[in-house]
Amino acid sequence: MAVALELDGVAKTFTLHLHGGTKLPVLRDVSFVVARGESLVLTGPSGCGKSSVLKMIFGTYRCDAGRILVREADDVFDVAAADPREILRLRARNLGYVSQFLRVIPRLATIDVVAEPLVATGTDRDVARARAAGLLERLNVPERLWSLSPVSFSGGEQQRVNIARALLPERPILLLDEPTAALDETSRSIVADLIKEAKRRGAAVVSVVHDQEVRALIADKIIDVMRFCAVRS
Amino acid sequence: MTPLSYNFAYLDEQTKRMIRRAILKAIAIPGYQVPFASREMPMPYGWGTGGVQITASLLGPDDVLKVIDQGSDDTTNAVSIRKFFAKTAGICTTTLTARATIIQTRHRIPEHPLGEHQILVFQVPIPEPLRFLEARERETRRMHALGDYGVMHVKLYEDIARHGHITTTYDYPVKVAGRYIMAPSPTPKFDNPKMNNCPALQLFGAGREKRIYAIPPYTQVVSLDFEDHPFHPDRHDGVCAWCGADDSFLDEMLTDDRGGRLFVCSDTDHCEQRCNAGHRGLQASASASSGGGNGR
Amino acid sequence: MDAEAPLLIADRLTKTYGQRRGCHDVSFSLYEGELLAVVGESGSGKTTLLQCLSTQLVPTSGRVLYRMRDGRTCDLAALSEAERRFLFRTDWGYVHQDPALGLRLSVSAGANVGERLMAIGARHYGHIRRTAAHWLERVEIDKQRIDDRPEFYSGGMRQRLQIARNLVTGPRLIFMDEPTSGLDASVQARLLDLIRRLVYGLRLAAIVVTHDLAVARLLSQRMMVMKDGEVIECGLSDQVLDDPQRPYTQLLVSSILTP
Repeated sequence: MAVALELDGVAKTFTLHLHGGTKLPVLRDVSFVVARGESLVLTGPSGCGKSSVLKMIFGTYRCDAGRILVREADDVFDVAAADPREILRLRARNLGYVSQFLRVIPRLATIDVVAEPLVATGTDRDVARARAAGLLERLNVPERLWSLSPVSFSGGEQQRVNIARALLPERPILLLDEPTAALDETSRSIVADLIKEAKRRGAAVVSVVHDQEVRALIADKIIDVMRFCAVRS
Repeated sequence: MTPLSYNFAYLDEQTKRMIRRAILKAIAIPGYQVPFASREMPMPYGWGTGGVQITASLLGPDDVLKVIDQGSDDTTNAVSIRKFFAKTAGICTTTLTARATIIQTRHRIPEHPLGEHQILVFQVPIPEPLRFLEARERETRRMHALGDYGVMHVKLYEDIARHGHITTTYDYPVKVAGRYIMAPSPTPKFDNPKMNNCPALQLFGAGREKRIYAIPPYTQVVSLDFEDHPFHPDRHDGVCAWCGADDSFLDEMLTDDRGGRLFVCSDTDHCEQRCNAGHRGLQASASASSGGGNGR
Repeated sequence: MDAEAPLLIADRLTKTYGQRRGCHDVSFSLYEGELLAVVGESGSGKTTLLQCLSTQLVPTSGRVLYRMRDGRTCDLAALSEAERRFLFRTDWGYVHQDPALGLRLSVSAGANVGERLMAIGARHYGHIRRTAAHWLERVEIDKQRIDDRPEFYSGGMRQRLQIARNLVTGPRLIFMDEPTSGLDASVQARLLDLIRRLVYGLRLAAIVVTHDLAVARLLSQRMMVMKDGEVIECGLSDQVLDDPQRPYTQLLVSSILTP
């Protein structure tokens, strides 16, 4: 079993300088391993730090202790210790991330929003767009919306665009934060299929999913993040 | 009352030396505007004080001076300056281009080819060719120092964009010795080719602006243009009504108030010499054919 | 972005005006294709930094190193004025906050865009005009307006024209000083989108000074926060904006108004 992602003793504390420097410990001693082709689901109550784990893996959140190891062939990179350029490289090659909210760039057409990560890593624009179209179709985003900016879309439509954008480049590690929260049943099952396909091609998937059904469809293992909660009552 | 006596050619010797030094520097750096301490002359700015100061510092007792204004020896300006030097230097004056050793001119180059023994002194109002696009002196000096002349072609580009062709017809900018861009003074662009590889020394004086510049003999002078809009020394399509010349620069003269007009050579000496030699245009008149150059 | 030498290196750059600090001890490296946002409020020193980097101001201490097209990395202070001006005209672009400063308002748009070409020796009117028209299109200005003077352009159009004027010689590094300030929101959005596409499409490196965090979020991968001449925090843009570490950064981020 080839390990794709490993967290080892990761900790996160927020320091709220605007509130007199109050420290808010969120996570401590987070350790787990995800293999290639394996899907890990993080569970736990709101605020326990599930999204934070994903953000630390992606490099958005800094971590205060521990290592976040990303394996690529024979190389291992520690996101926690990487400098900004290295993190950008990792994101371009290894890490796909579906955030909870789609950050919409005004005026960019949906098809280009989805195609952009591929284009940025060197794929021909027309080829990227064609593949984006295929994925959008699968996700039931109607073609008449492809040339529009997602600004005016519904929550569910935006989320599907977000998912398409993250899944299209077929990166080895996928981080999904509530990918199905705003979707109806049909869409949920399509997304679950896509995740399974990603697994089959060897991607390691870490997701935060509330919906029990989707969890059942995609999870190979489940970790309750409360285990790593830094605040003890 | 004792009559006033002037130093030879009006200026004192120290001033002449200062101006000569500026002239030498100008000759050493073709096309470069050399600042000089322009003196108060007995004529207002705008009446050729720059040219007069150069002429004054160059004149020697054996020189023969010709002064023209728009090609003509007869205008007020030309006559005044000629008399000025006659009085203050006592030198010979002439209207014959071929006889003069120093020719001071406003806004024209004589038609007759000049020789190595002659000096052409131009009167210049605005010596800075970049002034219209860049008002700051500090900046234009820098542009010259760094050879930063993009803005000059911008002006020409604008002309073509707006009018289909370059509309500058006088004071047409040139590049001297492949280095400095220079304003030839408001001579018609027809005269530009004469400046190139000219055997005579050409000196330019701007009295109000306090600059002297020069084109040494046999120096390359190229008019600015675009590859696909090359420079043309245009002239009015016609012949001189008096002498019949078809290759000289022509002035338009209105003869009545009903639209009647004549085109005649702007260079009066040139026209006169041609008439004396027997050439006739369609309107050849008795006065034009009577000859009589007024050399003294 | 492979392992290559940085394009621009600021090494302990400091500019003081007597007792007053412009910027102090600023160091960073910028690579080809990277867009760095320098964020700060008025008086933070961000514009001073930009001017030191682009050699418009002479730093009090520290160096700016630049990798020339031939691969040599040079200390910009060691270049002659002629070399620096040439660099400014060919390898670099500078987009002013007020487009009137970066344009010749009395001359047509085509001439504005073509000027740099003419300055480096282009002498074919037809080619110059075609190139100018091409760039006007790329910044979404109607080609038909090539002969109009920017006197008659709106603020957003003038800014786009300024960008075209800078890009025509294929620079590798662009400096932008508050490129969208003073523009209406919709105009701003359009301009930012254009800047994004051009910078990333042309693989330019860019340093964008702004007080607007949303602009930084949208445009840049990396960000530096400045206050009173010092660099308070730097890192990836999403790091700095989503997980600000320093008190001032947290204050700045929390102050963003969201409609």
